Formats: sequence, C-alpha cells, structure tokens
Amino acid sequence: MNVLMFGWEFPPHISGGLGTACFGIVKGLASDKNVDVTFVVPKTHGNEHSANNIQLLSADHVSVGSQYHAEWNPTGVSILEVNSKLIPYETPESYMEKYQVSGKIKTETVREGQKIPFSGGYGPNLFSEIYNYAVVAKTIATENQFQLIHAHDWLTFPAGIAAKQISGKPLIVHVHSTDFDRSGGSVNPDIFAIEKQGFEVADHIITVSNRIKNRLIEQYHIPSHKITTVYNAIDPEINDNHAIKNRKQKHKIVTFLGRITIQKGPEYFVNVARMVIHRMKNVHFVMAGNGELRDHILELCAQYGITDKFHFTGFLNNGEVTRMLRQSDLFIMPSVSEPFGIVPLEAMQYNVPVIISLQSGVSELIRNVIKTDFWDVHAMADAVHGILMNKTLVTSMITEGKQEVSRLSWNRSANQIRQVYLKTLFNLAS
Amino acid sequence: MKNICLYFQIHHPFSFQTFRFFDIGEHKSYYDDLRIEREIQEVSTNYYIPTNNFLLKLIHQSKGQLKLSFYISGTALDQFLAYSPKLINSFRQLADTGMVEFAGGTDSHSIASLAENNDEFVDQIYLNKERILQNFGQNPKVFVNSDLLFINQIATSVGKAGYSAIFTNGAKKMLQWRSPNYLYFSEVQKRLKILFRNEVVSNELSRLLGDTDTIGKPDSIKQILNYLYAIKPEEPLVNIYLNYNSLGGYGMDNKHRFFRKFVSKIISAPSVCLSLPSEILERYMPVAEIGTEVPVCWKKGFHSSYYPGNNLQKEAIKHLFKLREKVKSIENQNLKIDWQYLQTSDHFHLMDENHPDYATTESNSGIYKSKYEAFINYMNILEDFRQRLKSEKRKVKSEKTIQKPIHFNQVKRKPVI
Repeated sequence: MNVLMFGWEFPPHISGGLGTACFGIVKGLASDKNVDVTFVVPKTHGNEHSANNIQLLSADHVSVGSQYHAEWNPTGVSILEVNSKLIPYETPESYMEKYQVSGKIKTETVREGQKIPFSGGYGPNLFSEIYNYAVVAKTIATENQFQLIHAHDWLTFPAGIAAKQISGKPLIVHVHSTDFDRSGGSVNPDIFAIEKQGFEVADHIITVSNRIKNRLIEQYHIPSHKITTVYNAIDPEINDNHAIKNRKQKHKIVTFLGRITIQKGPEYFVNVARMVIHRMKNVHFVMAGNGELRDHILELCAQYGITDKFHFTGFLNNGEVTRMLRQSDLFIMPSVSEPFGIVPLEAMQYNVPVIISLQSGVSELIRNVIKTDFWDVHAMADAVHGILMNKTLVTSMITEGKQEVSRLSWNRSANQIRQVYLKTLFNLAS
Repeated sequence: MKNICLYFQIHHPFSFQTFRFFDIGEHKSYYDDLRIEREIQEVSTNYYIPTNNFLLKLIHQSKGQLKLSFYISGTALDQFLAYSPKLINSFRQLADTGMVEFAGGTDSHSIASLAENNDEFVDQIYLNKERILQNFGQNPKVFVNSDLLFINQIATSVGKAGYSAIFTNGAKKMLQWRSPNYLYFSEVQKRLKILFRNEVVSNELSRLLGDTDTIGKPDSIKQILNYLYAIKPEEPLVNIYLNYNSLGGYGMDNKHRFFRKFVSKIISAPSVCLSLPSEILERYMPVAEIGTEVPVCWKKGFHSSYYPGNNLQKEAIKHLFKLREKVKSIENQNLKIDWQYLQTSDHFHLMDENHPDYATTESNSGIYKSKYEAFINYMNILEDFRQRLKSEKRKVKSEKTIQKPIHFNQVKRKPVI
C-alpha cells in the first residue's frame, strides 16, 4: 500500500509535538513491509531523520506541472519537500506581527514549470503558503502512485483535498489539534473554515484523543462514525544509562515544560507554586520554555513574593529538556486544553512522577499519574505536597508509570492507523 | 441432612470527603456526612426496611423453618443509629424472632488484622461483641472478618478473643481439592472452627438477584436449585453469603417473590433444611484441619488475591498503626471514634487501581480519580489526626500540671536590681 502523506515538519526541524508525532507514525507504519509512505513537507533541510519505507519529498523541488518524480527507495524513507512556511502553533496574526508583513494577501499565479519557493518555516503569509502547498500537492499527486492520502492538521488540509480532487483517491485527515485548542476559544474563522472543509471532504478522520473527537462532533458537526481515535505514543528510551536517579540535591524541583501560553495553563502552575512554597521548605519551581505570557507570569511571581523559588529557563533544546526532566522531582502539565500531550510520557520515562490536567488527551490513555482539573489549583497543590512528602507514593508512581509507558509504542498506533486505511479502502471498494 | 446457611452482609463505610493538606489543623470533618446521610436514608427506605418487613413476615409464615444470619459492620450500625433509627428497631424485631443470628466482626470493618501487632485486632473484636449484645441481645458465635479476610495469624487472634468459629471465603487457592461444604478447624488454633462461603452457589444467587430482567421468570429458580442439587448428598453444609442489598432496590417485589419461592422449595424438599451457624457448630464435628499463609478474601469487584495489598496500602496501614499507642493513652472519645473509622477497609480498597471507581475515565461515583489521590487524601487525614492526638496529649499534660497547686514561695523571682 502506497500512502501519500502531507506533513508540515519533520524532525529535527520541529516547533512542537506535530513533527514528533508525524515521525513516530511514519516510522511505525514503515515497520510494516506492506506500507510505503511518501512524506511531503514544505521544505527539507537535508538532515532529516530517516526510517525504512519512507520517502521524504520536498515541495520546493517540485516544478508545478513538470515531470518531477520523487526517487523511490524501496527500503528507505523518502520525504518530499515543498517549499512553505507554515507553523501549526502560529496564527496568521502572530506571524504577521513577527515578520512585520502587511495584512494583504497576495495572489500569485503560478505558471507551468515554475517552482514555488517555500520557507520551510511558518512564513509571513500563512494562507498563501498553504494554498501554494496545495498547488504543489496537485502536481505531486499526478506524478506519484499511491492508494491513499493522509494529511496532518489544517495546514496540510488544502493540499490533501487538492490531491484527492486530482487523483480521486481517498483522503484521511489526522487531527493533532484544532483551532479551539490552539486559540483558547477565540477561533480564527479562516482556519475554522479550512479545518471544517478538511473534515467534511475527508473519507475518514483520525484524532489523537477522544477529547478531540468530541470537539469535532460538537463544534464541527462531524458524524462520530467517521472518526477514529488513535493515541500517540512514545519511543522507547534509547539511552538508559541515567535511568537510576542518583541525585543528592537538597531541594525538590517541580517542573513546568512547554510554551508559556494560555493553552498550557502557566498561571495555574504559579498559583500552585505559591500555595506550596508558603507551606513547604526546599521546594523550587521551574518554568521551562518560552512564550508570550512569560512577562506576565514573572510579574505574578513578584506579586506573590516567590521569585526566589521560582525560576525560568527560557527555551530548551532537546538535550536540555531531557536534562531538565531528569533533574525534576515532579512534572506538572496544567494545560487548559491539550489535544494529546507527549511530554508527560517522556517525564514518566525519565522516572519523574507526573500531574496532568484532565483537559488533556493523554489523561485518557495513562493511569499512573495524578489527574486534576486544570483550574483546581487546590487539588494540584495537594498532589504536589503529597508527592514531595511521601517516598512510597513516588516509587509507586515511578515504577508503575514507567511500566505503563514502556507498553506504548508507535508500532501499536501505526497498527491502528493501518486498520483505518484498510477500512477506508474497503468501504470505498464495496 | 443438608444444612443451608444464609448470611447477609451489611456494610457502609464512613467515606471521606476531599481533605487537602491546607485543611490539616483546620478542624475540618473527615467524612462526607451529607452524602452518607443521603445514602443511608436511601438504602434504609428502598432496601433494608421493606426487606426486613418481608423477611419478618416470611419467618412467621414458615413457622421456624426459615433461619438466617446477618453481619452488620460497626460503621453501618453507627450510621443507622444516626440517620435511620427505625432500621435498628426493624433489625431488633428480626433478632427477637430467634430465627436470626448476628455474626461478630471487627467493629469498624477494619483492616486491624493486617497490623503487625494483633492487640488492636483483639480489642476491636471485644468491642464489637459488646455492641452486638447491646443492640441485638445476642452473643455472636461466628466471627466474620472484614471482607472475609483470612490467614493463619488471624485464626490465632480470633481464638484468643474467645470465638469458636470464623467465617471466610471458600477460595480455591486455600481449599484446593477440598470441598467448602464441610466444617474444618484451623491448623494453628485447633479450637477454632472454619466455615467456608460456597463461592459457586453464592455468586450464582447474587447474579440471579442482580439480573432484574430475568428474576421474575420461573427458569431462574430452577437454575439456582440445580446448583444446589449438584452438590454431593454427603456434604452436610452449604454457606451462602450475599450482600443484603441484593434483596432490595429496583425490582424488589420480584426479588422477594423469587426469594420466597427459593426458601419454600428448600423447606419442602426432603433432607434439606435451613440452619443457623450456631446449630451447625453444635451438630457437626470438624472433618479436617486447614490453614493458609496466603490471604484469602471476598470483596465484590476485587480479585480474591487482593490482600495484603500494594505498597501504597501497606505504607498507609503502617503509618496508621504507628499511632495506636498514642490513641490508647488518651481518653477523648471523638478521637477514639475517628481512630476506628480510619481503619475501615474501604479507604484502603480505594488505593488500588482495580477499584471499580477507576474502571472508566468518566465514572464519577467517588471523589478520587486514581489510587494516588486516594492515598494522598488518606495521608492528609492521618496527618491531621496525628496532630490532633499530639495536641490532645499536650492538653492532658498541661491540665495535670495545672492541678498542682503552685505555692507563692516556689515561684522564683528575678532579683530586682
């Protein structure tokens, strides 16, 4: 089975969970010899991770209407690159602000034989990039052999739809987040329209949690039989040397890790910190990551008088994230709305007890964590106190949590996705 | 002659309310009193009182042929006394017929039998004996441990506390090739007889009673009787142990009709009768000795290899019984009562991931979402209890010192310069 997959980023050039998830899915699918994936991204950087049976195709190498043919590597991953600038975590407005681009959307006519340049990031004009991507997708769809189209998140929906229209092959869209989750409720109508169109045109929809599935049913009015939930997973820990924690620091460290935006609930973390710091000694809270609410959070800390025990690290790269997690005594994800949330799973891999909000997709999947409502700072503070005070609780959470996480694998998720493929093809044939 | 003993279990724990570490030392109640009151009133009006009346009538009609026994936990008794005194009277009426026996237990359905030292366990057994005598005018003959938990060390303590028989679950892993339908005695305490719950018949009967759709059909009575007929004729004893609430609630009339039919079939059958456990103990000699070092128990929704529990449960139990000496040394009744209620096994069941409350992500029957939260809540309450004990001791101490008259001469004064 050949699958034409549209993504927006591929490790190591990622801005969030989407790239990691795509890589995991693609790798999981590739472990089955019967599935070949052609993964299209706006732009390749030449150092993308590879896996078997996947072909990476860069869209900016595709001449529109030309006879471009991606080289198939029978046992290798190929990634097709499309030159584009979309970021799943950026709204058009925020992007325009950043790049100081005027709000006018230019419409370009792409002539035959022309190559469209993509920035590979999240460009000044998100929408024109998305539609450029769709134009290239048409070309790719006519020039490649495949049975199925699989598109990840709204940025690639127009491309997926275009490919479906030109090839007549079934389209599966994979929803890693919706605009309701990203925007905290103030939905961008243009993005909403693209999402809704994608859901409606799709032959089947895969969501990363039942939370997202319900959102699709309630907000986008998609019939539930069209949606299947396939949870994300995590790679088994490769470097296991540091598995046994042997820290002798006096202070306990409680960590928040993620972008400091409304969606991630940093304010609740500060409130929990305030409650705990005022009643316990030797506890430090660390907020790792960056985001537009950073200054606001800093001010809150000053207001509460806890700046001596509340620390900011700024943006952390992959290695630093690992180090940060290993040093932590507790990881909290107080997300207001989290479609899935892979970081808690990583924390569990690194022997860290975890508190997550019930408003996260991952809370449907795992048991050996403490779950509270994101707004219930009392419950969260209580859990922090309980975990920091009781060793038996920590060992129990760590050992059972680790076992639980070790049972997850991308192969399992990919298996479920393959089932969806087969079901879709079967339904179409019958 | 085949003797069938019917036992009904009634237990209601004092469930906790959410107790945060901010609440420690703030004089907040541990228990979800409103919910408890609502539940007790609900079960007494829709389950227990109508069923008691039904049984009372049936006992009179059967002219001394229908006999049954009850196990009512001390916490349930306390709750009935507080929220539904009518119910207590109704049970007394049953006791007065002479056809109903009450089994003894630990007073608060406690896990005291798991403590390292058996003092607390023995204390509780005596306490409960007294209560049964007070409330129902009977001296309990059979000891029923919380969740029918049994290991050899429990047999020793129960014998010490003056019981001559213990009731436990006829789990395969303890009985192995033996039949539950005989009287046994303990291998460590020869005077203590052991009665076994017949798992097959009991489970089948409670399954039939739970299935409100088919309970009215004549087939269901045949099914349960077939299970009884399948038992070898030479086996003298079948112990059927159920939750009492399986006779009430939705579809109660059908359930009562079913039960009436079941009883009349047994009574009218040749060489089968209903007996009280005390009669069995008098009539039969134990056939063999038996014992186990691996705990057996019976708890709906739990696997029978549930005890002695996971690390969290062990930790909580360890910390709880550390406080025993302190509790013994004080007189404050409120603290003593809390001490009892803190031991109820249900609190510890909630620290297990297999608890039915956690079966689905959406279930909202309990206040906890995981065993970890149950553990944290319990430890917060225990910490509050510990602090109260401490301050009580301090108070007692200071009261003693105040009682001593202080002579003016004894007070040392700073020399005035």
